[in-house]
Formats: sequence, C-alpha cells, structure tokens
Amino acid sequence: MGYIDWVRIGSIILLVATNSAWAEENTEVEQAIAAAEGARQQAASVGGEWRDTAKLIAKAKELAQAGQIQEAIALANRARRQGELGYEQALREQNADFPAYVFGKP
Amino acid sequence: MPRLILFWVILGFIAPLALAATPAEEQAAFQGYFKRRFPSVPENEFKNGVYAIDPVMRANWEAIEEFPPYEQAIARGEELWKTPFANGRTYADCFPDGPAIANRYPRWDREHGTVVTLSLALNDCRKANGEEPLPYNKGPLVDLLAYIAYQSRGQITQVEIPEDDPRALEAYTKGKRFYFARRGQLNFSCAHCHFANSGAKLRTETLSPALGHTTHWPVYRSEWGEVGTLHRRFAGCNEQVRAKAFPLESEEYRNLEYFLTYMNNGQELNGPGARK
Amino acid sequence: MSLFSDQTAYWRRLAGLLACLIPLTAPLAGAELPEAINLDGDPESGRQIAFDRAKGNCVSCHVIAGATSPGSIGPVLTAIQTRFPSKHELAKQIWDPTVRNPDAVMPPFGKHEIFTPKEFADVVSFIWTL
Ligand code: HEC
Ligand code: HEC
Repeated sequence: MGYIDWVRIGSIILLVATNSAWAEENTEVEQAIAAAEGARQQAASVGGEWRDTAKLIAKAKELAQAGQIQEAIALANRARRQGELGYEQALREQNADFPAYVFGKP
Repeated sequence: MPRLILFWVILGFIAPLALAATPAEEQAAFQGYFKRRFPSVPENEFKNGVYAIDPVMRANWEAIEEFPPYEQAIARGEELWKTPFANGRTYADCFPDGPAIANRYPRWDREHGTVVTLSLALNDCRKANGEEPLPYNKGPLVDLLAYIAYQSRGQITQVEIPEDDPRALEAYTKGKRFYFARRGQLNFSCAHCHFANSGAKLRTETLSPALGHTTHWPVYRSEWGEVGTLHRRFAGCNEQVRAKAFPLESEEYRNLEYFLTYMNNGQELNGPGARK
Repeated sequence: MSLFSDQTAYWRRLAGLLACLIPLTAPLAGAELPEAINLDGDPESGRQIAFDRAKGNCVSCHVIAGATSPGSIGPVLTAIQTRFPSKHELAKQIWDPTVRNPDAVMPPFGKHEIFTPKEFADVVSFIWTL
C-alpha cells in the first residue's frame, strides 16, 4: 500500500471514531437527562421535589440541543442528584411530628 | 442481655407517651408553647402576627391600617357576592348564613372524604350553578374571600375533627407531618422558622409565631402588591427553602390548612390583613 | 460495515467502563463529607459568597464581622479556630450541620450541593480566618 492509501485508511478510522464518539456522547446525554427526569419524578411521587430540579433539566435539554454536551451532562447529573436527595429527604421525614420541646414545661 | 432488657423497659415507657397525644392535646401544647415563649403578648394579640411581637414594625403597620390597602378588594367582593349567576341564583343560595361564614372553614367533608376550604366551597357553589370555577391565586375569588373575611371579623376559630370519621384524623395527621417535615434544598420544616425561631431575625425579617397564622386571610402584602391567600403564602414559604410548591388548594395544602387552623382554635378572626 | 458496528461496540464498552468510574469522582447523593476533600480555597471569594443573599447567605442567620444587618438565628461566627480543632472539622459543620445536631436549623451546604466544590472550599477557608 502506498502513502495515499494509509492516509485514506487513517482518515476513515478517524471519521468512524469521531462519529461514533459523537453518537456515544449523544446517547450519554440522553441517558443523563432521562435519569434526571426519572429521579425528579420519583421525588415528586413522595412530595419531595425541589424547586429548581425541573428548571435544571430544561436547561440541560437546551444545552444538549445547542451541542454543549458535556455541560448538559453535568447539569443533568446535578438535577438527578437533587431528585435523589429530595426523595431520600421525603422518606426520612415522612413521620415528622411535634418537636419534644413543645411539650416541655417552662 | 441486661442492656437489651433496659432497652425494652425504656421503650415500654416512651412508646405509649409518644403515641398518646391526641389532636386536642397537641393543640394545648402548641398554644401553651407560644404563650410561654411570648409571655408578654396577650392571647388576643397573636392574630396580628409579627406585629404582635415587633414594636418597631407595629408602628409602621398601624399607619398602613389607617388606610387599609385591602378595602377595594372588599368592595369588589361585596359586588360579586350580590351579583346573580346566569341562572338567577346567588352565592347566598349556597351559603344561607353568608357572608359571615369564615370560621366554618376549613371543615371536614364526610361525603367527599376531603378537607373543604372556603375557596373550594365558593368554587363548588359556582360549579353547582353552571358557572366556571375561578382561579385560586388572584382576582375575583380572592375579592370574595376578602368580603367574607371582613363580614366575619370577630368570629372565633373553631375547626372540628369529627371523632367518628377516622379519615378526618388522617387528614389532620397528614397536615401535621407536612408541617414538621424538612423539605427543599435548604432542608427546613415550617417549625424551624415559625416555632423555635419565631421572634428571631432571618436577616432583616422577624419571624412570626405559628399561633395567629390563620386568622387574617386573605392578606394584602406589599411584596405581592395585591391581596392573596393563605395557600399562596404556603407556596412562598415552600419556595423560600427551595422546595417545589404544591398547587393552591391541592390536597397537601388543604390538609396543612386543616392542621394549622385547628392549632389556632380559639383565636379571633380579623381578616383581611395587611403584611409586609 | 462490520467495522462500524465493532467500533461502536468498542466505544460503548469504553463508555460503560468510564461510567462505572463516575460515581467514584462525582459527589454522591446523601454522602458524608469526603475525607480527601480539597479545602484550599480563596477566603476573599468565600467572604463574598458568605455575604451574598442568593448564595451562602450565612449573614441571614449569623453575625459575621464586616456584614450589615445580620440575622440572629445562629451563633456569632468568631474565634473559629478555638471552636474547631481543624479546618476539616469546620468543614463538617458546613457540609451537613445535622450530623452534629439532628435538629440543626442550618442548610447542609455541602451535602445538598448548595455550593459547588470550589465555593465550598472558598467559604470554609473564609470562615476559618474568623
Ligand atoms: C426559612 C424560614 C421559613 C420557613 C421554613 C417557613 N416560613 Fe413561613 N414565613 C417566613 C417569613 C420570613 C415570613 C414573613 C414574616 C413573618 O410573618 O414571619 C413568613 C410568613 C408566613 C406566614 C404569614 C404570617 C402572617 O402573619 O401573615 C404563614 C402563614 C407562614 N409563613 C406559614 C409557613 C408554613 C406553613 C411553612 C411550611 C410550609 C413555612 N411558613 C415555612 C419564613 C419561613
Ligand atoms: C438558617 C440559619 C443559618 C444559616 C443560613 C447558616 N447557619 Fe450556620 N448555624 C446556624 C445555627 C442555628 C447554628 C447553631 C448550631 C446548630 O444548630 O447546630 C449554626 C452553626 C454554625 C457554625 C458552628 C458555630 C460554632 O461556633 O459552633 C458554623 C461554623 C456555621 N454555622 C457556619 C455557617 C456558614 C459558613 C453559613 C453560610 C454558608 C451558615 N452557617 C449559614 C444557622 C444558620
């Protein structure tokens, strides 16, 4: 094989690699957003959703569409953790009651 | 082994105590707590919220009350109350004892198995007469509330939890759990601000005690620039701790109102009110 | 053609492998203060965050020297190095105050990710100077 052939093969490999990397990035951001939305809904199902979680997800979708994939993933992951924390918080607090000091004598 | 026994003995003592509190006992403890916390505030002053405990803010508020900012809302509400629906009937047909009916709400509705607030009852009346329900956040419904509140001034809070319907107690308990649960990114419960820190300053704002929280609705708030409802305030306090607010008149907020108003039994109604 | 799918499969596997590593580096939901957290922050930017209403807003509850109209819910923040044996111990209080006191009325700035890791280090570094 001549020099040109090597260049051709090289560029094909490069193309394929970047193309599938792009595809991979795309599924990764989609998965991150789906995971965030799932966590948000789980928190909401027990009344534990936080104020900004849905806004973070909307913003992540916007960024993904604008091609800012890594930023979108970071934001979606933050939203997912909010969902998880809100869910845990609601479960932890589900039997919340009067604090003992209310019943205390002066 | 002895430790295990000790554990069960202690649990045996604590468990019945923890389970024993009835709504009436909780109400007594709640009211006693705030009276102990603010020994110099007369019982009939708590209805004035933060102005009962902060003399500087009170002077400012008394000046505002000379020309009440909710007067127009009362006038519009009266007009609405008297204007017949398309079918010729009026609100008075739904509420024969109206308009002074504020202290009958919130009440347990046995038939529907739910807490009915005054807002809900007004919209039920409209629907029964073929009218569209009104939005809960602002506008005509809030005007009606203002008129009814004004006509009901001097009534005493007297929420009932019927003992023969366990679902009523369940609604109360749900409201109580909501009140004391930490929520939002900032991790506060309502009690964190309105019990142990009432009277303290959150930056520049003095926190009002929960005793007196249900007496004076709807309220003209300078921050809103208009008259708004108790549920709108709930939503604001939820968002303040970065929790997602619930829809106004949702089951969550109606149960919360049921619990909180029951805690305030005996307090005199003095709505509509004015607040910062 | 087969080259493509093989490539994709390879990348998938690699991404999968990397994804497994993510939980080790990203903050964990519900986690305690990481032992190895970097607390080398910029005290000056920490001061701004602590005073900023939308950010730390520590002043809404604490008297801090130099801040105007403080709140009165928490203790005065002063002589911190006599109150905490190490910066790391101080960081624990700011990460999640409910660990030390389950009834604490102070937001868990670290655990709930109210701060980014940098903001957290900056604020801890600032409070440590008080
Ligand atoms: C972070 C502190 C904070 C938390 C948590 C909080 N509030 Fe408030 N709330 C305030 C502040 C500040 C005001 C305005 C000043 C005042 O009246 O206390 C207020 C006002 C109110 C009022 C109006 C008082 C009046 O006189 O008109 C009600 C009612 C109320 N809160 C209920 C609640 C309920 C119910 C919750 C829980 C869902 C809650 N708050 C949680 C800070 C808080
Ligand atoms: C809502 C009120 C509130 C806010 C906001 C708040 N704190 Fe606190 N903080 C408290 C309370 C109350 C305590 C008392 C200890 C406890 O309850 O565990 C405390 C305790 C502390 C202590 C321990 C003091 C000691 O001497 O033991 C430190 C340090 C501290 N806070 C730092 C901060 C910082 C930094 C911020 C802002 C990023 C902050 N706090 C925001 C309420 C608050």
